[in-house]
Order: sequence, then structure tokens, then C-alpha cells
Amino acid sequence: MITSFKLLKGILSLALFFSICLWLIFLFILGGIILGYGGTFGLENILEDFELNSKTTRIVLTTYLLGGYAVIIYVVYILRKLVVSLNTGRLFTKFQSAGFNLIGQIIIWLVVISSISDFILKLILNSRFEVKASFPDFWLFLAVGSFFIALGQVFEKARLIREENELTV
Amino acid sequence: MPIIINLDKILEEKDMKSNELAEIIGITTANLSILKTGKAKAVRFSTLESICEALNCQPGDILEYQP
Repeated sequence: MITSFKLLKGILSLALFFSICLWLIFLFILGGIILGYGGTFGLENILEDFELNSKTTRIVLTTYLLGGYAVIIYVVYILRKLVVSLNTGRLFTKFQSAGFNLIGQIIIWLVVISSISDFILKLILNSRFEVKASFPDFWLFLAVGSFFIALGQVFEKARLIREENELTV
Repeated sequence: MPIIINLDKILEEKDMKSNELAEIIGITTANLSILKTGKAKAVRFSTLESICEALNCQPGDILEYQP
């Protein structure tokens, strides 16, 4: 049990590290494109290809992409903290139930918001910039989010039972 | 909770201290304190039996229902 937790913690640590690195790289590249330094990265034709001439559109699109990615990094960060908390030995704490609940809520909001924004982006950009999200993916992530919320509720129930057990004289 | 624990009153009547009772019935003073302060969520029959035996009283003397 402890070995699997260590393995999971290691995987999540690596995922967190690489996600943050990628996010910073994206930040520099997209920031460069917005500020007009696209030529430095050899990306001078990208904006013309997508016909993104308005600076506001560029900023909104960049904020959307970086913001969404940052939220995913935050989910991985909480998940890592949860694994560390589960590994310490004390189970069914308030932090664990709240953590699972928060992860579930974030996943569901992320899926709903990204689906709506993808639809709006398609309308605004007239399918020049297509973000592929298939129908089963939506339901799969919705199910994963709901599962995390259910897990949070199970942990909350278990916490109450544990407290009751501890307060039985 | 409408269940009141009258352990303090009984202990005073029997002229016994909490730590003495805890030692006789075999529970920690911390657990006895939880029981006395009304923070306990449940009482085992075995604990109740030990308390009644040690204080020579009935469960009704210790527990009281106040709606």
C-alpha cells in the first residue's frame, strides 16, 4: 500500500513539474506572439493563418488557454497533496474529503466551461481555430468529476463515523 | 444533546475523584472527561456496567433525558 502511494506521489510530482515547465514555455511563446515577437520563435505566420488581427482576441484566447492549463496544474497539485495526506496514515480527515470534493467540482466546471467556450470560439473564429473535443470525452470527464465528488462524500461520511467511534467511551 | 450525564453529581455523593473512577473502570481520564462533559457520542454497555458497579448505582442515576 505504501509503495503504491509512493509510486503515485512520484508520478504526480513528475506530472506537476513537467506541467509547470510546459506552462511557462507556453506563457513565453504565447506572450511573445501577442506582443509581436512571433518572428523570434518562427511563428510569425500563425496569427495570419488564423486571421487573429485583433489584440483583444489574442489576449482573450491566450488567457483562456493558459488559464485552463493552470487550473489543470492546480488539480494535479491538490491530487498530489491528497496522496501525501493519505500516505501519512491518518485517513478520513476533513482535508481529504474537502480535497476530493474540490477536485470533482473543478473537473466538472472545467469540462462545462471548456465545452461552452469551444462552441463560442468556433462561432467567433468561424472554424479557423478548431479545438477538438469529442462527445464521449465530455461525458467521461463529467463522470470522473462526479466520481471524485462521490468519493469526497464517502470520505466525509467515514470521517463522521470515525469521530463517532473515537467519541464512544 | 438532550441526554445529560450526572456523573459529577454521583462522584461528589460517593466522595470519589475522576481519576480514581477512571482507574477502577479501566478507561483513560481523557475518555472519562469526554463522558463527563457530554461530548461523548455513545457509551458502551460494558463501560456503563463498570461505572454502575464502581459507584454502586443504577444507569438512570447517571443518565438523564431532558427534552
